[in-house]
Amino acid sequence: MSIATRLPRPAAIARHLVLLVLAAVTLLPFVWMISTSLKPQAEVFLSEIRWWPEKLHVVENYTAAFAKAPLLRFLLNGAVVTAAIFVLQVAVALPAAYALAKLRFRGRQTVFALVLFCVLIPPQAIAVPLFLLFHQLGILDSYAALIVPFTISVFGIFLMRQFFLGVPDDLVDAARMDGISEVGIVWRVMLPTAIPAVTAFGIFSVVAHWNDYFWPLIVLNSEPLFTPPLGVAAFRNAEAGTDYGPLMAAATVIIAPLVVAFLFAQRRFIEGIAFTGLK
Amino acid sequence: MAQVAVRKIRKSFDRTDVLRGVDLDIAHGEFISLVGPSGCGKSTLLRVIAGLETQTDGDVLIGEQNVNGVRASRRDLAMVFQSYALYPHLSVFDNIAVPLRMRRLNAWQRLPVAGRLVPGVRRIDREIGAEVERVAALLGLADLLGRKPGQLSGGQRQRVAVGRAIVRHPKAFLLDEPLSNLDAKLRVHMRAEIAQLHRRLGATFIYVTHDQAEAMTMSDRIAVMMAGNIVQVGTPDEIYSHPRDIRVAEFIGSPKINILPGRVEAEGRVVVLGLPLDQRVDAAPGTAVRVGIRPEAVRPTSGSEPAWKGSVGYVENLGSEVFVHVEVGGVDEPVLVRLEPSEARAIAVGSPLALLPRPSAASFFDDRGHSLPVRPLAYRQAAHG
Ligand SMILES: Nc1ncnc2c1ncn2[C@@H]1O[C@H](COP(=O)(O)OP(=O)(O)OP(=O)(O)O)[C@@H](O)[C@H]1O
Ligand SMILES: [Mg+2]
Repeated sequence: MSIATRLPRPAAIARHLVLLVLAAVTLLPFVWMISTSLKPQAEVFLSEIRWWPEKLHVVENYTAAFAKAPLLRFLLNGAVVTAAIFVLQVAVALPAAYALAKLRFRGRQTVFALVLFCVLIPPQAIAVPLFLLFHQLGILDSYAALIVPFTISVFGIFLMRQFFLGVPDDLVDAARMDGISEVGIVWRVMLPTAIPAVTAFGIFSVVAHWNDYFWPLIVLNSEPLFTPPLGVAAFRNAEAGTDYGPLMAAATVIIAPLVVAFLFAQRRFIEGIAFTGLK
Repeated sequence: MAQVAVRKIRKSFDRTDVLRGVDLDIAHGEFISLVGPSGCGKSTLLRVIAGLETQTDGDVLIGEQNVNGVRASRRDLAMVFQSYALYPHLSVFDNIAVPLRMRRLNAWQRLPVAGRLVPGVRRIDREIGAEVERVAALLGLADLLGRKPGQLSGGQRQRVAVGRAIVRHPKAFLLDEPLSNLDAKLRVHMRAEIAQLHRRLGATFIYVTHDQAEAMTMSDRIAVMMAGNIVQVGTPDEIYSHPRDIRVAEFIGSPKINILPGRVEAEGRVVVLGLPLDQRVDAAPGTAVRVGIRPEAVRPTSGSEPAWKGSVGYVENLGSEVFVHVEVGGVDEPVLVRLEPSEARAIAVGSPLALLPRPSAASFFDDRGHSLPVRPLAYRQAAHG
């Protein structure tokens, strides 16, 4: 806001024009998706661009979407998997980050270097070994297969460790004097002070795993376990890619939870993204 | 009986020795201050006593019990930190209640909702609430119990930190520069409050500060630390009037003590800048000594007797007192004189001024900085008689 008042008027206008164009380009496919989800089949393939259908086909398309695929089941799967991943990630990352930031022990620097090293490993690179490992363990095609690989988030450990470095040592010492155990310090002192960082991390974790297509595609076979992105894909395959109205309706339903979450927590979202410096 | 004692405490971080064999006995109910320049190891000593830092060598005793290896929370000490270290997410009430809850309730009973259902928890909670309110009333925090630390002023936060310390009646209080984040006026006010609190509780206080005014006004005894050692322990008056080391003499007292070069002559008589003093020291004639004279122990003189002749370099008028800097031949630093404003009225910058020390006011230090014993007056009269 202060920047806008400082910029000369033409510059401010130009800046907003650029931003508006970018926003339009980004939003266009979404708008088209929603628009298509409202159209009858006949209007989908018209050569003219029609944003609002002449004949609304909302009820038909959305009931078709819910009838042809267990959309609610997919949404539930998505919620269970992303929530489990996030909770377990926090359960691992907070104690680890506390140890790396606040405890003095031999080899701390080495351990932290290893954490940084792991940040560099792309998940695709270890997908095949993980797949084989899970095959050996016999847990392919299960919730566990979807959740377990992501429970240790090195990015989460790194992010929380950086945040904990900024928490004063005196606070930790005061907690020790008050009789709080080391485990207690993590959950009763560090976690409450780290809520902004945990929120930021949560946003990334939930968005990434809600939208993940790659890993569920590899480990899942049974449709009842499908996560939302797999569900949409399966839907298209099943319908041979012709019935675009219900397909777009399904896509809209599956995107909706994240959009609604964003609208409710918009401020936290922006804070979180600004916080991690990943704007 | 010593409430808290440390014996030959050493502490090294990597290869730097921060504490080099500290010995100190603190009596029950005593208010002792640890003073010393920045980085001399005051906080480290306090943290070793608290159990937040493990000593490299030596023993810590609390109530005659050796507590080496006992965790901080089991030592039954309370600490007030310079940064206050309040829990930012808890209200004032909860901040003060934490140490009681941690001690009186077990992990199950502390659970937010389920804990309520355990028999007896409600009663303990009520007792804790009553004690928190008593402490809050004592510290004038009764109206602030619902606020978060972020909504308090510095002085109020400081009080909450004190409240959290006194609520559980520990064996001793450790305070690490608790007033240094307050402005000058509030600092003086809180100084009086803490001294009063000490009298009221009758508890043992170990108080770290590098503000010597705090140490002088509040303490029963002061321990002066230099480079990881305790150089002198004594009452504020002993420390001020009879420093055992030249570093103590220079550290205590504001403005700084005047240090002048002197020479021992026959019968232990000391001559400073050509002027023989009335005190005699136990040292061989010909020994070079350093002589410390406080600014209030130097007087201007208009008589014709022998005196230090100099000229006024600078006059600092503080209203209630005046510091006159006098350039005297033979010393690099100006000699500082503290005067009443009425005495200083006639003194102008650049004008000549003759100075005399007050009788029996000087301290003497050898070349290693240790103080030299001053011979009793009776001996001197005998020598003359
Ligand atoms: N954890 C640590 N690791 C390494 N050196 C340390 C550590 N803590 C303290 N030191 C060193 O020990 C020395 C004494 O520190 P300490 O905090 O006890 O000084 P202090 O007397 O309290 O000073 P101040 O008046 O500035 O608070 C300092 O030189 C400091 O750099
Ligand atoms: Mg300190």
